[in-house]
Amino acid sequence: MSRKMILRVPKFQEPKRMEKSEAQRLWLLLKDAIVEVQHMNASTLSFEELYRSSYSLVIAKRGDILYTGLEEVNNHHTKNLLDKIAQAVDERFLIELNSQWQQYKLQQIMIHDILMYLDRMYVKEPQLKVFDLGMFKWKQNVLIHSQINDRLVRMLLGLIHMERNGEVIDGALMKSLIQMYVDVSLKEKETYKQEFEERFLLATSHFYKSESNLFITNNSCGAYLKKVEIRLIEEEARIKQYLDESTGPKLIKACEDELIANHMQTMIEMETGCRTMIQNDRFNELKLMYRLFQRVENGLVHLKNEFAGYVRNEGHKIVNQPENLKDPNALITSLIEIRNRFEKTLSQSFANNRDFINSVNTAFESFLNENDKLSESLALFIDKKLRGGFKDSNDQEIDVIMNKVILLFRFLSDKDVFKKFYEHYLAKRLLSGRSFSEDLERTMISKFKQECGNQFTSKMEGMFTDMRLSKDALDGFKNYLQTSVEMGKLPKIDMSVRVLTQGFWPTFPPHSCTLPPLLSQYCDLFTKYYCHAHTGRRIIWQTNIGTAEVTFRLPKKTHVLALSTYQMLIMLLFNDAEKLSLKQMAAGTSISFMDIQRSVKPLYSGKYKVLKRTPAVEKSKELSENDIFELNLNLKCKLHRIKFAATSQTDSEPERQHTRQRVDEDRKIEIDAAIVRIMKSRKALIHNDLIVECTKQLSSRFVPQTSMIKKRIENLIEREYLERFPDDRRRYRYLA
Amino acid sequence: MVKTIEEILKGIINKEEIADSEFFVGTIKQQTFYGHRLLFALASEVWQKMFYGSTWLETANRELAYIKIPDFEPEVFEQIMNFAYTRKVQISSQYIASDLLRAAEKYMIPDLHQLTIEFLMENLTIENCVENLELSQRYENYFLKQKALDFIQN
Repeated sequence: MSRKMILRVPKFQEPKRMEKSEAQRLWLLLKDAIVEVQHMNASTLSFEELYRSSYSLVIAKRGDILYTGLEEVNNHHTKNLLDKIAQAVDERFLIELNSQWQQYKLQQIMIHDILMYLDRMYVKEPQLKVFDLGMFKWKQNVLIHSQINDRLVRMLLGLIHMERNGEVIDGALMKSLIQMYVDVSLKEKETYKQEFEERFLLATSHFYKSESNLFITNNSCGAYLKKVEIRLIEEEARIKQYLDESTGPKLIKACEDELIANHMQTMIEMETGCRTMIQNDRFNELKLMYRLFQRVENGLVHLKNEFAGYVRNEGHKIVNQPENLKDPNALITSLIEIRNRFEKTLSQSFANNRDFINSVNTAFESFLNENDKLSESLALFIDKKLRGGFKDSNDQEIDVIMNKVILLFRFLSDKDVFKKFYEHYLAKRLLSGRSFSEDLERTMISKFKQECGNQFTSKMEGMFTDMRLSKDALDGFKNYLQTSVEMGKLPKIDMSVRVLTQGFWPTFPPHSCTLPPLLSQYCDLFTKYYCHAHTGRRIIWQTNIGTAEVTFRLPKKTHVLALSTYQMLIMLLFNDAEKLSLKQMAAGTSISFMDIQRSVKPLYSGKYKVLKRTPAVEKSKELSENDIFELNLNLKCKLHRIKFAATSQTDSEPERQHTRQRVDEDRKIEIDAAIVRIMKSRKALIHNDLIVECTKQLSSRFVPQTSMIKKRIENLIEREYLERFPDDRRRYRYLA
Repeated sequence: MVKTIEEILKGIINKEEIADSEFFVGTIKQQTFYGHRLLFALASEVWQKMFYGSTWLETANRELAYIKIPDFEPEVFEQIMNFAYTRKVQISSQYIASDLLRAAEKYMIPDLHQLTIEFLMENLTIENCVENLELSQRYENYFLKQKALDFIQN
């Protein structure tokens, strides 16, 4: 089947083929126009006409004529420009180059606009787009030409050098000329990097190398740091003002290397350097140093090590100072002071940097555990505060001090030793009624609890409970006495008793003494009452930590003496005797001679002397068994009530030894428990692993010695908790 | 009712009083159109360069830009203008469609190209299928080419 086809030719169909002569005509039209553009006469040219001409050429597949023609025209033009520019002398050179470049760039944009369709349909990789072609011709024939490039770079670097030396240069001109290197780069700014940036960075390093060497030898470290900061700010501004932003990081790195990294060691060690700044709390200078060192690799490590070293050294001095070793209060006070001081340095200068804080803490840990006195000193410090040292502080100040105590406590590796001492002094405070405020006591304890958990403070809390229950028991006892039959027969005395649960309280070394009959009877009554109320309990009397008040009748005056139980017993002896030797006192009261010594001392050597030594001897002389005392009937004292310290406030060496021993005993139990716990879950373990695991588990309370763990393992083997593997003596097995 | 922007733009097509450009269009029939540079520039990069790039004859020292377009006839330009203001065209013939396709190519307007191709594909006839095949090759449209070829084979 045939089909009739009607073809209608559209009126404006584009010619399928263009005659060569027509193509030539259109090209000449465009060429003339381009030349006009190069003479800045575009406003006489019709865009529509030029665009239409170039479009027609390209759509008729004559783009080649256009492209090669354009290349020639550009080539010719740029070569002409080169001669013009190269002739300019001195500063004129830069100005001429810049103005020609600015014009050229504009022309290339216009040429691109009318040849847009050429770009779109004709140009294929690796041919350059119309605009890029223009840039390339400029680069090839002008910029990297031997008459231009070197001269230009030298002049640019010369100007930058002048500006660095404080002169004012034309920033806009710089920007335009430097940007030219970027504009003519075809990819990744390669021309800019090769021809300009590389040489610029080299010149920069050179400049700052010599400047910094000179400056740092003639100025203080602080002045140098300020200079560096200003220089860096200037360079940052330079990047914004006329460099390509890609140069920024490289430029800053080059400056930092020359200005900071190369001089770090000097800045730390020089006379006015880091060490002096730390010593003299030059917070602002240190802050600046921190900021600058932060910028370079490992910069902060240097600064941190220097600071931590200083902290360790200062701490070491404090904990080993002879005066501080004698005076726990001074020791802890100075430790809190330096802690405050370094915290201030950390926050004001080192932005509370984690690493810095950690290394300062490590330093504290190391010097605080340098000697084993610290646990006790800290406990004594708090003891003093809680006995009234807080009297003049407000709540906030108290909280600050307590937190500092906790902070120091945190660094102690033998927390159990501290705990024992703390309990010991707490017990003394409670029993002697010397605690300044129960609220503060509880606040302190709650802080320990927060830090170490319930277990740590359970005994301390138990002591408070005992105190409360004792009060109830005593009230009950008084009621009981009123109803009791026996009461009628006895003279009234005011006796108060505290019932301490064994285990909560430190065990006081047992002492015996003979109580006066009346007191003895009261004691028996209390025992009877209490054991009746609480069946199954046993009471052991600890007279050595009691207190008493006795009336002291002098010929003209009467005083009330607040004494320890022992002192009371001694004073009561003088009811029946005028003079007594220490030996007689001991015999009369059944108190050990040592306690007699300690009890008598405040009575005759304190501010108010109720006893006098006969014959009078020098105060400092040691007491002997045969020294004789009599009542001082000439006592002159305005006070009605006179208080005597039972013993000196700090404990005697034997007591301290005792506390230590108890710590060791407790540690044995803790280690045993840890070993058993570990072995129970692991069943079998190699010796070293067991030691490591055991140390890890106990580290929150104390650092056990390896030898001690070994001994405990031996002990547990003997007690058949563990056994060694027969074929491998280093391995243990848990025996269920 | 608030007028839509589309309605407003439609209302100012060829409105001399508020126009900033004068288009002198056509060779066989000639007609002057009044339009707005901004709307033309928004439709095509070529016009954008003409009006807002450098200073050319069309705009130099003039309040009313003057553009001579001899290569399109008034009825085609009317549709080009419609497109520039509303992104819509009314194509009434094969001839207008083929010239709009040329305009889309010359002024680099992909959307206009697309609209025209759609029209041509829907209106293939025995009379125009060969011409459309040719157009599809010149303006490189694969879909029209395929459709025209299928049409011819069937």
